[in-house]
Amino acid sequence: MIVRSGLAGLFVAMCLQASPTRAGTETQAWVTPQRPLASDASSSGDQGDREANAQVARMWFKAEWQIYASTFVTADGRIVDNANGNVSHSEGQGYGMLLAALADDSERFEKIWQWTEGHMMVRPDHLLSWRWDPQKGAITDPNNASDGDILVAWALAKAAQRFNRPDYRASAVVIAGAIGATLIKTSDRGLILLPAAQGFTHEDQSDGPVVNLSYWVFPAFSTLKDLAPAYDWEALHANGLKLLSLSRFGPLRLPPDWLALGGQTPAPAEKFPSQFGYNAIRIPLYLAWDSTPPARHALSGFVNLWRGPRSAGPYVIDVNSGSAEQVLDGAGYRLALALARCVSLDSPIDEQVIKSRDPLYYPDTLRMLSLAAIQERLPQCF
Amino acid sequence: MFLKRPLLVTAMLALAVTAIRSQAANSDEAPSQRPAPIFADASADGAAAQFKVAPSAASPFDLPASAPRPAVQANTAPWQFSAPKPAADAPGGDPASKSREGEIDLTALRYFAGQGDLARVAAEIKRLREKHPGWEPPQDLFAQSGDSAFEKPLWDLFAQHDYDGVRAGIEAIQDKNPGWQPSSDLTDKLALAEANDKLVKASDAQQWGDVIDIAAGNKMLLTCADVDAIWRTAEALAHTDDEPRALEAYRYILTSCAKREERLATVQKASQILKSPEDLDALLRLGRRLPNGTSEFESVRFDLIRQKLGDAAAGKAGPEASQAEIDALAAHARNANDRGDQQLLGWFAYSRKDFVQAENWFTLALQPGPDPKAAEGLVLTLRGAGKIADAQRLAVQYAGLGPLNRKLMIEVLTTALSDPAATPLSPDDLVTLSQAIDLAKSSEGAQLYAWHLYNANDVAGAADWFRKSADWQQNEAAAIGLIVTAKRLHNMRDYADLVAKYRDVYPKVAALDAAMGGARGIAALRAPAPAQAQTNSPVRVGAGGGWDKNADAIAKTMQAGKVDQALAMLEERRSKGLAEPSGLTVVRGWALYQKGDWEGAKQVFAGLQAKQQQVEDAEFGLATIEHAELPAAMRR
Repeated sequence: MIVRSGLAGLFVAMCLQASPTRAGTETQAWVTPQRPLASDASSSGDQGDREANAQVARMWFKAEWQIYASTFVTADGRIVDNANGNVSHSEGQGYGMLLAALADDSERFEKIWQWTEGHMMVRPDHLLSWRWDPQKGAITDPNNASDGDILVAWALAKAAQRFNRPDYRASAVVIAGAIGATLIKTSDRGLILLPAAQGFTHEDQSDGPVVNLSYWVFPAFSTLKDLAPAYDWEALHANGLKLLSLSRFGPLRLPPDWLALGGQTPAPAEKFPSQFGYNAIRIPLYLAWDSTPPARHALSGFVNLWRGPRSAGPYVIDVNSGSAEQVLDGAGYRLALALARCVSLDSPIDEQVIKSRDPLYYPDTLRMLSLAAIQERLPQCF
Repeated sequence: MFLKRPLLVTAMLALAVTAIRSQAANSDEAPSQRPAPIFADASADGAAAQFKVAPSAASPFDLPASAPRPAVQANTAPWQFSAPKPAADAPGGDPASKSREGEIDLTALRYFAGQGDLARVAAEIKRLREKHPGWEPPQDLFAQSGDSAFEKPLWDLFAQHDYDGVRAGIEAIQDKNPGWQPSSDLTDKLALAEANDKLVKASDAQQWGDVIDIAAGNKMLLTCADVDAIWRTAEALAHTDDEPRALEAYRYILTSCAKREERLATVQKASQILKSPEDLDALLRLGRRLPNGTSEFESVRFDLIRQKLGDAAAGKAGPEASQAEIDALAAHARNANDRGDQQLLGWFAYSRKDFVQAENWFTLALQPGPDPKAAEGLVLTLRGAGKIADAQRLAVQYAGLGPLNRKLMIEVLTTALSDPAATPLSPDDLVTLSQAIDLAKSSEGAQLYAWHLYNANDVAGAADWFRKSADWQQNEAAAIGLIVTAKRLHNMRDYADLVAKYRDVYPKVAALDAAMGGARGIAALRAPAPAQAQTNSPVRVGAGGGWDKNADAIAKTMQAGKVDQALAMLEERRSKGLAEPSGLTVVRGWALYQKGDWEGAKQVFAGLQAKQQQVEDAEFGLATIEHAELPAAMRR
C-alpha cells in the first residue's frame, strides 16, 4: 500500500502554494505547483503506480469538488446553471448529488437531495420535473428529463452505500422503478429510453420515436439493474450502443444530439438541429466512464474529435455536412474528449487540460464528471 | 502520474510518420505501384479484372496465384495490359458534387482526414462551404481509414520493421476494444512486409522455389517500391531455369521504374544472372537517352565488356566478348583517350598472344607518360614477341617505376644471363641489373647473377652473390653455388661447413659432394664453364694413356671458343667410326651446352654418369644445366 501519511497534507500544501516545492526527504516526491507526481512516490511497480494515482486522483477530485460546490451549489442545495438564467434542472441536481457522493461530502449531498426532493419530485409517477426557475421560484416545466432521473437514482444508490443511508436507497429504488415503468419502451428498433415521459413517441413526433443517446448514462446501468431488476437494463444498454453504431452520419460519421427512429433507418431528428453538440458531447464521457468492452469499442468513433491543446476544436458539428459550427469552448469539453483518448488510445491527458477550470456550470460539470470517472475507475488517465 | 508521458512523444512521432506516409503515397508514381507482371494471371476476375492481361500478351510465365490488388489506378496503359478503366467511379457523391470536386481543392481536407483529425476536417469543411455555398463534402472521407487513431503507434512499429510488434499491438487493441479491426491499409501493408521478409530469407538461403512461391502469392511485392524483391525473384527464376520470366522481371523494372541507380543496378544484376547475351542486349536497349545523346546504360555496357576482357586476360572462365564489343571498347579507348581501357585492351591482347596489338595498346597507354602497369605490359609483350633486346632496354628504362617493374627487369635480364641464346648484356646493363638485385633483395636474381659471374670465371664475385642470395632467401641454387665456389676457392673448411649445413636440406648437395669425391681435392673439380675449364686442365683423352692427337685438337679448338668447329670435328670423328674417349664426350657436352642445346648436353652428361665415366664432370654438367634452366622456370 502506497499511501503515505504525509501525502494528503502535502497535497493540500501543493494546492495552496504557487511555486514548486521540494519535499525534504528522498522518499518524498517532486511536485508541480498543483499536481503531485504520485508515481514517483511509489516504488512497487505498475500496480503501485495505479494505486498511488488513484489515491491522488481521489484527493484531487475532492479538492476540486470543494471549489466547484462553492461556485455552483447554493447553501440550500440548489445547483445553479449560470449560463441559463441561473435555473436549476434535474440533470444538474443529479450531477451535484453524484459528485457530492463520490467526494464523500455527505453534508452537501443531503442538502442537494433535500432541495431536489422538495422542489422537483412533484410528479405522481415519481419522476422529477426537470426545470425550476429562480425568477418564479417554481417548476416551469413539469415534464421530466430521463437523464436527470437516472442521475438522481444513481447518486442516491451511491450515497446510500457510502453514507449508510437505507432511505437514500429506498428513494433510488422508487425513481429507478419509475424510469423503468414510464421511460423504457419497446420499439421497432428494440428497447429504448424515452427522453421524457411526454413528447417523444411516434405519436408526438412525425419521425418519432426520438431519443437522445446522451441520456443513456451508460455507467449507471449496472446500478439501475440492481435497483429495478424488473426491467431489462442490459438490453437497454446494448441497444443504446447499437443505435449509436447505426447513427453515424455525414462525412465525420457522428451521432446527432437527437436521433429519430421512426424512419427506415435512424436519422437526425427533424425538429432538432442536426448537430453533434452540447448533448452528444457527453456520449464519449459516459462511454469512457462505463469502460465495458462494448462501450470502449463505441468510443473509438470519438477519439479524434479533439486531439490535444495544440489541436483545433472541439466543435459543435453539423452531422450532415460535417461542418464545424461554434467552438465547444470550455475546459470540460476538452477534458471529456481527452479522457476518451486516454481510455481508447492510452494517450495521456495533458496536464493543462486537467488543471483548467470553467466559469460556467455545464462545461465545469463535465470537467468534474471526468475527474470523477478518473478517480473512480480510470486512475491511469490521471 | 503521467507515467505514459513517453507515449505522447511516440504518438507525435507516429503522427509525423503518418504524414510522411500519406505524402509518400501521394507522390508515388502510378506505374510503380503496379506489380511486376511476372506472375500474370491467366484469368481475370475480381480485382484482377482491373488489370486484364491483353490477349496478345499470352506469356510463357503464367503461374496460378492470387489476384493482385492494385493500389492505385493508373491513367496510362502499361505495356502488358490493355488500357484499364477504373472498375468503378470514385466512391462518394453525385455527379454534380463530383464535378465540383474537380474545381475545389480538397487537398487539405483529404490530408486532415488522412490524419484522422475530425476537428480540422470539420473546420476545413466549414471553410469550404463558406467559400463555395451549396458544396457538399465527399462522404467517403473516412470510409477506408478505419479508426486511424488506434493505428498510429502501429504504423510507428511498422516503420521500424517490427512486424511482430504490430501484430501484438493489434491484439492488444482488440483486447481492449472488442470488435475493433485494423484498417485494410495496415493489414495489407503488414502482410506484404511480412511476405517480403520471408522472401528475403528464402532468397538468402537460396531456396529458389520458396522465393518464387512467395512472390507468386504476393504480387504486390513486385513493384518499383521494392525492386530488391523483383531482383531476388528474378534470380530465383534464373536459378530454376526460367530465364524468360527472369528477363521479364528485369524488363519490368526498366520499363516501369524510374530510379536511375536502381535501373543501372538492374542491368548489372541481369548481366550476372542471364546466360543469354541476346537477352542482356535486349535489356541494354531499354536504356533511356541521356541529354548528351548516349544511352543511360552505355557505361554499364562498357563495364560489362571490361569485365569480360578483364576475366579473359586473367584466364578466368566466363562469357567472351564479341568482336563488336571489343571494337566498341577499342573505339572508346582511343576516342576518350582512356588509359585504363587502353591497358585493359593491351593485357587482353597479350593474353591472346596477339603481341602486335598488345604492343600498340601499351605503347599508346605510355604516351602520356610512364605508368608502372603499362610499362610492365610492354616489357612482357616485347619479350613474348621475341624482341628480347627491346624488352631488356625498356625493362631497364622502367625499372624505377615500381617494385614489380624492378622485379620484371631482373627477370628479363637474368634470363639473358643464363640463356646462351640470348644477346649478351652490356656492361652497363650488368651494373644496372646488379644494382636492381641489391635494391630488390632478389634472392633469385642474385643466384642467377652469381652463376653468370661464375661462368665468367669471377669465382670470388660469384661467391659474394651466392651469399647474398642465400641470405635473402635460402635456396638450393645458392647453396650449390656456395659449395662449388668454396671448393674452387680452396676454402675447404667453408666447403665442409656448407655441405654439412645443406646436405640434409637439399638432397642434391649430398649427391654433389659424393660426386666431387668429398675431400678428393680440388684437382678433381672442373669448372662448369668448359671454355675456361679446359684452359686450366687439358682434357686427357687418351684411352690407353697415349695422346689422341685428334682428340687433343678438338679440345684445343674448344678452348679457343670455337664451339661450332669443335662440334663439327666431333661429328667428323664420329662419322669416321673413331671411338670417343670419355674426356672428349665431356667436351661434346659442354659444346652442346654452349650452343644452347641444353637437352642434348644433359643427355651426354647423363650418359657419362650412367657409365660411371668422368663422373665429376658429368655431375657438374648436369648441375650447371639445371641451374641454367631456372630462369625458364621463373618464366612459368
